[in-house]
Amino acid sequence: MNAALRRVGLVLLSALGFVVAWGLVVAIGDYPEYILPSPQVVAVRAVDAIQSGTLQPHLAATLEESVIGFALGAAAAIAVGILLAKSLTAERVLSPYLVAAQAIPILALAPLIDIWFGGGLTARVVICALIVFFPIAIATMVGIRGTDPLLVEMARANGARGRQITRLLEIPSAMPVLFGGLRVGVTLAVIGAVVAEWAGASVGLGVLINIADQGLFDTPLMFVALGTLALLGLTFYAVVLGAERVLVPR
Amino acid sequence: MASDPGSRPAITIEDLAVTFTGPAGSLTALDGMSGEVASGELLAVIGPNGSGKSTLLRALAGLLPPSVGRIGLAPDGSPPRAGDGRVGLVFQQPRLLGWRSTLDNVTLPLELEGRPAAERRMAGERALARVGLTDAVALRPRELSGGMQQRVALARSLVTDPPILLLDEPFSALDALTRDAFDAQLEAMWLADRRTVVLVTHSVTESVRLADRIWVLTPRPGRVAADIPVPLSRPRPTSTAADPAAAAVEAEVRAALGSVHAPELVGWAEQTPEVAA
Repeated sequence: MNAALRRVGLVLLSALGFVVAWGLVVAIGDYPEYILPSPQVVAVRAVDAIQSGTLQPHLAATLEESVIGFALGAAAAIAVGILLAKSLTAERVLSPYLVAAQAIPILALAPLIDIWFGGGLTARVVICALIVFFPIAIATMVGIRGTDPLLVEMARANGARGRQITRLLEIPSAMPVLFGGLRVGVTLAVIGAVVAEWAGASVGLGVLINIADQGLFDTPLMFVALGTLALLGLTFYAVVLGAERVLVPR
Repeated sequence: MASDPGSRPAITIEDLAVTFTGPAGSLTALDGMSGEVASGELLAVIGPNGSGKSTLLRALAGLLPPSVGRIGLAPDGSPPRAGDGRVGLVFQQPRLLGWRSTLDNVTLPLELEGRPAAERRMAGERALARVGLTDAVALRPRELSGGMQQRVALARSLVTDPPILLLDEPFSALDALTRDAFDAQLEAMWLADRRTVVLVTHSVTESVRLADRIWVLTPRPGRVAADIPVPLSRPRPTSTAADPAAAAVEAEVRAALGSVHAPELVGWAEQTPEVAA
């Protein structure tokens, strides 16, 4: 059995173990469906939600917000991170605001942003971008600052100038740390999307959770929405990992 | 021996001083240093720790501006500018980029000059061939031994074919046997192309083994305390210990070094050891 197969096998085994444990908890505790539905009930509800077309528009909305939000947030964060790393003045001027903005819960900011950006997709993308921004900007800064000064001197001796040093030296050596930030950021993107939806949206997985909870007491549907969110986060994480494998040779 | 009295020197140093200024004050690494290195000459620079040997090489490479005085390099006697193609610099550590292949490490200087990929590849393969690493083109630095990594660094400094090669204790991290072999290779390479070489070293034996001339520097701030010619024929054997002429030069270098011995020894060297009864 080769290593890749073994890894996939291990992942499937752990998923199976999780579902079995969940089923056992429900069976032993004999919980009613509206408190903790069994895996079978949730699976049936999921198939039903997909077949009836309930789930898809909500998934599509959350997917759109988090992908665009992550892309914009990450791009801005990398640019600002480079600026912070290269300019002490920029760090002194900007970092208090960045840290302060990070200290305010996004949940508290979301309604305001919703008002400012007119409550549409733009507002939700901005909320999402904001939440992914901080870890990626910090990781970029730390990564670039961590560039070996001996390598920088070597490049200078060979005639490298500022931009060349950033492109050929600092960004490649920051990559492993930068990807650490991207991994954190990409999972936060999903949280950002849900928070944004709660601040004002009519469609999205966050909205679906609200509908299932308040309108219908449909706990199995809530679990379907939560499971979809988890899968979304896992998928994003896997995509970032894949990109890391390609872009960060080891 | 390679010096040709009629030709312009490869390196001219006039009253050079280099002072570093930091928040904690200033430190003068070199002061009042003057000297010339003839074209095609192999000069060794030796001196106690903190005598500014590395600072001298960085100033020659255009990485540090002189605080006082000037440096002129052939052909026109203009001061060095980092990356102007007149010097290649090899450091004590290989300083390779871990994410790049051997070839892409070697061709970095050409990439910084904006040369086209095909030209880079050809020059890079030629430089790697000169250090006997043709087979390592696609390998990454961590797949190479320390000695091989330093050969890649040497190839990187040769890829632009600079007339002057500056070596900052390039083989000091290698074990003694490997180092002897590297010295022999370095001499053979130098005999083949007669590049001007300035070799900073801590080893008296290595300086006598390789150099046409040896500068002994004073402790900080450094300047040339002794300028000792090495009148030995080439190619020289791996060990010059059996040669009385070499022994005489070595003794002269050690005497010069002894008179400028390291400030680290102050207060210790004067002590008489007490023998337990």
